Order: sequence, then structure tokens, then C-alpha cells
Amino acid sequence: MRIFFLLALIVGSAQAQLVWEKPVRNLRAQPGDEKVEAVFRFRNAGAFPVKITQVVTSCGCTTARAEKNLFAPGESGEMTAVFKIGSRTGRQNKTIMVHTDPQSNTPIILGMVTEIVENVELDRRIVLWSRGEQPVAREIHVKVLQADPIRIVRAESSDPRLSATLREITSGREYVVLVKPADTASPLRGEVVLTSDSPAGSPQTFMVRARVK
Amino acid sequence: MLRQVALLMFLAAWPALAAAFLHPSRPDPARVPTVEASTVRAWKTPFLWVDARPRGEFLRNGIPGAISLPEDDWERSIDAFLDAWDAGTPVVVYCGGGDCGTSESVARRLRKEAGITQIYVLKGGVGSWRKAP
Repeated sequence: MRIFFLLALIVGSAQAQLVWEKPVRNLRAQPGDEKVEAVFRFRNAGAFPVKITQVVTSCGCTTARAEKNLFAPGESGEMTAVFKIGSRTGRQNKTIMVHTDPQSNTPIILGMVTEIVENVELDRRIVLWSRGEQPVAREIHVKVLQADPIRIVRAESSDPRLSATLREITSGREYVVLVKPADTASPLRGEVVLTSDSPAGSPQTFMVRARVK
Repeated sequence: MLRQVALLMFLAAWPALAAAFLHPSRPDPARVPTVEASTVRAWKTPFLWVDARPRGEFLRNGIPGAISLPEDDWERSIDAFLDAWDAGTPVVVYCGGGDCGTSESVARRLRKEAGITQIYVLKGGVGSWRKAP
């Protein structure tokens, strides 16, 4: 994040024409959100027209476009950026590099810092065993992070050689799932799906991958 | 005398604590450590490259032997990573270069989801690897 600010500062001082209101935006995505959107406002503070020639984002998950490309002196504009969340979690830093004409202008770097809020946290989503090692159960701790309780009601394994046992520590708040292969003599690729009771009608599920290799 | 010393120490502690917590270069413990390309070149033990860039960029100029794991395609790509990675093997994640942030994001996720402890982000991205002596 500091890098964003530094870059914005450097770029802001070098780029005398397009002046951006907030080159770094801090956003928050709630569980279930598919995308977040940020509008970056700017003004052509120079004496000549400025053309946006290219917009490059740091990730295929982020798109950005201005309403038009050419801005007269004194004219204001907006660039709308959309970050598709997908299966991402935690803090996400995405950048958008805006190239303008005249080419002597230093490209502007805009930042989207998105905190993706999780309502349920698993301390592991992948558990592994090496072939031949003792098939000791791996523990996955599940915590409900939101104020309202969420109950984990089922833990189901995709493979009969892989067992999944759900233990309730505190109803609606904390669970432990024990995942254990019957043996580690041969490779195994399985999944354990945890099913919650929320939201009603289409309950949220969480997948844990298990491998013996 | 002792009370004065204690008072002085108490007063001195506040600016020191403030500097420790608010200093702009204070290390972020959540960040994945970075590693220089020249350091990786000197490693004698096996490690696994992970390419955090979009699949097209990986196919164009990925490091030979690397596994493609873009966050855009995580659910489909993670199996290939798990097939290639052996527990205990260090992982180095790279992206396009500079402060692309993508490699940090992928490395954090691998550390959290798979509990990988020996995981690093390549400083300077794929370009630094090509230039490293």
C-alpha cells in the first residue's frame, strides 16, 4: 500500500496535466460480493488537451475504462475500475496504469486496495500426506467471523478412502474437522465439502482438498 | 532518585513505541518474504517456481519448470500445483515485475491454505530472473 502512495506522489508531481482526486482507493467487499467498483475522478489541469492512450491493469481480474479518451484543458473526467473477486480472499492490491499523450507524460498508477471480508475462516484448505507415512488425521479449524452465528452442518468426503469427521466446539462459532485417509499406500485425490446452514435456501459450502502423494 | 529514573524511562518509552509501530518502513509480518534472483540462482536444493501471471503470459515466457497458478483460475490450477509440489520443498512465486502485487497475493494464499512455510516472492519479477548473474 505504501508503494501505491509513493508512486501516486511521484507520478502526481511528474504528471502536470491529469490531476487525480484519489489515486488510491480503499474498498471493502462483503461475503458473496462478486465484484467491487471504484470511480477515479480527474481533471486536466494543463493548458493542452490530454488523450488517454492505454490503460493496463495488473491482473486479468481488473478492468478499467474512461468514459472517453480526449480531455480538453480544465475538463474533468472519470475512470471506472471493476475488480472481479472470484475465489480471492483477504487483502488484494490491484494497480491500473494509465498512459496518456503527450508521451512525455509519466504513466499514472492508480491503486485499488480491497479487503475481502470472510464470514467463515478455515485455517487450512489443503491437507497432504506423503506416501508411506502414518495416516494421522489432519485438523482443520473453522471459525465464524461474523457476529451472527453460522452452523456447519455437514462434512462430506468425495472418496470412500478419506474420512471426514465434524466436531462442534461452540455452536455457530467454532468447529474442527478431522480429515484422515484410510491408508497412505497409494495416491489419493479427494475433497471434503463443509456445508453450512447459511444463507437459508442456498447454504454456503467450503472445500478442503486432500492429497496422498 | 529511582522514581525519577522510572519516570524518565516511562516518558522515553512512548516515543520509542510510537516509532516502532508507526514507522513507515516497519516490516509487515503478514507479508511473504521476498528473495533476490541472484540468491535463488545460488540455491543448491530443489525448489518450485510458481508463475502468478495470467495463463497467456506464462505460456509466452514462463520460467521452464514453473507451475502456472493465476488467481483468476485458482480452482482449476491448484491441482497442478499440488501434483508438482512435495511437502517441504521451497516455493518461489513470481509475476511480471515491479510492484505487480499478484505474486504476493498468490504466495499469501498458498501459505494460508496449504500451510507452506518456505515460500518467497521473487523480487523484481520474471525480468529480474532473466537478468540475474
